[in-house]
Amino acid sequence: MSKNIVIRGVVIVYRGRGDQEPVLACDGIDLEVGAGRFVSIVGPSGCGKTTLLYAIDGLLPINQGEIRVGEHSITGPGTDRAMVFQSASLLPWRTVWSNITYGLRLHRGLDGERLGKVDGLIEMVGLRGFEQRYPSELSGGMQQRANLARALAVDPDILLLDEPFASVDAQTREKLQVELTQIWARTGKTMVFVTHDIAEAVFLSDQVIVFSARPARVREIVDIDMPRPRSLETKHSGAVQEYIKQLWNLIESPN
Amino acid sequence: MSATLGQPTPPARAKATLDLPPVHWTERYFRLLWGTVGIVGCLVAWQLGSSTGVLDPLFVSSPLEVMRTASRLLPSPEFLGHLSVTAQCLFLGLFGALVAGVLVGLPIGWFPRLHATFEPVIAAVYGVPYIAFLPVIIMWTGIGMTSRTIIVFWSAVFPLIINAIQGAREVDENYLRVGKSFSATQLQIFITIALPSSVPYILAGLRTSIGRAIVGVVVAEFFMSSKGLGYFINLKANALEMAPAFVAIALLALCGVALVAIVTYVENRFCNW
Repeated sequence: MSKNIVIRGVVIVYRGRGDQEPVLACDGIDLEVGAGRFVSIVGPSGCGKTTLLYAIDGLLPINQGEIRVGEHSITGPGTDRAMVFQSASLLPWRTVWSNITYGLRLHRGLDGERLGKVDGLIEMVGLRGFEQRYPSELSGGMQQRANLARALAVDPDILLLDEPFASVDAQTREKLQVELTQIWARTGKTMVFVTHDIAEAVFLSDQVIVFSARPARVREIVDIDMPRPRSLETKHSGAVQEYIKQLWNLIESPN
Repeated sequence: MSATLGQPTPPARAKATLDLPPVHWTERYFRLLWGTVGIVGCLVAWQLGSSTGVLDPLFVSSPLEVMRTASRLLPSPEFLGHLSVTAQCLFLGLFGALVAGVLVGLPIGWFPRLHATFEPVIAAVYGVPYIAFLPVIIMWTGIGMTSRTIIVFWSAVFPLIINAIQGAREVDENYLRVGKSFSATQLQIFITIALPSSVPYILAGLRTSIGRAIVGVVVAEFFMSSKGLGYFINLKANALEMAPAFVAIALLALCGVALVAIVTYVENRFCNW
């Protein structure tokens, strides 16, 4: 059901458009994400976290090294991975339902069985009753639910999340975090979550990976040894605070 | 997947219980009210000028005269013939321009190499007043219905091409990334993302095109027709029969307003995102 990710010596030079200078975004990343695990990547702004996530999805080419997903070395986007984007990026001319089924329709069409699954998914992300609404009619939090459902709909082995809760209000964010851990527990998918928010990373993850400032290197891998399921009380517990302090120090200290 | 996670219910559409003072009708219909005042005011001034002799009725006719003439002309088969010739030309030309504009414009906007190649040509041709091509088109296609339709097409097609190009070039990167991430083919991305996201641009182009098409059809009929509203206006004005000429002019105005209203309706109905 889920697959592991192995990243070996990955170097990514990011080329902007036109005559922009190429930027060394990732400089020799080595990482392993076990099948079915929840791993977060944190690091200073602009350090190349998102770049690596896009490379895992196959949206950006890597210049050196290898990214393996399960048995295969990836060369481009594939249906074994799906992305939850930072901006919800829902197609505004499609209804919520039509957005969520977008990926499915591109490849396999919708048969009775898949329709049933999408229906369950809509229930799971809490969009029941909103299927026929347009994205512009939804709040930011609801848009991100649809964004998440769209990625889950293709039933990927790996879910890549790029700061999906960065632009929703604090209260909604906490709620969505709890729900995401529940979805993760229920679907058993491998999740890679990029965020600025260290508390968020600690709360969600089995493991937090700390990147250095650009060019990104892996500075530290911190295992989060806390029981699951986690609730909002967990988030405000002393153990979490300890992890947050430890991670802050890592990020703040010079390379 | 039976259990549900904190699902928000759709907002109830409860009636507001606040008692707000009713909006006065002059506020509610503000634009309609003053717009009507403007039009009626102009007509009254025209009528007064004409009946007092300040304006020479022979040259300017009068609203009442024009209305009387309209009631006589509108049922007459001869006049309806003129109207239908113009309407056909206009619709065929505009429709052709819409189809061609989209088919030509979207690919040019989508493929950078095509854009680099054709953008200068299109900019150059667009810069020339389209009426300047009239004698050339007459030389190529003769005079007649086909030729006039081609002139309408030519008048209307460039705003559509240019807007379709812009639409295809300005597709939100985020949307394209979604398509790529789901491993959509280039064709799928074009059809499911670039095309719908260009629709508002194409409709905006169509608005501009309607005005140009009406100019095109009238001018074409001035010079190369024995039918149509343009021909009719020319004929009547030269014979100093101003009232029938104004009836035809008013119909052209109505035609433009109606076509633009259709575009606005489509925009509001389908592009309200």
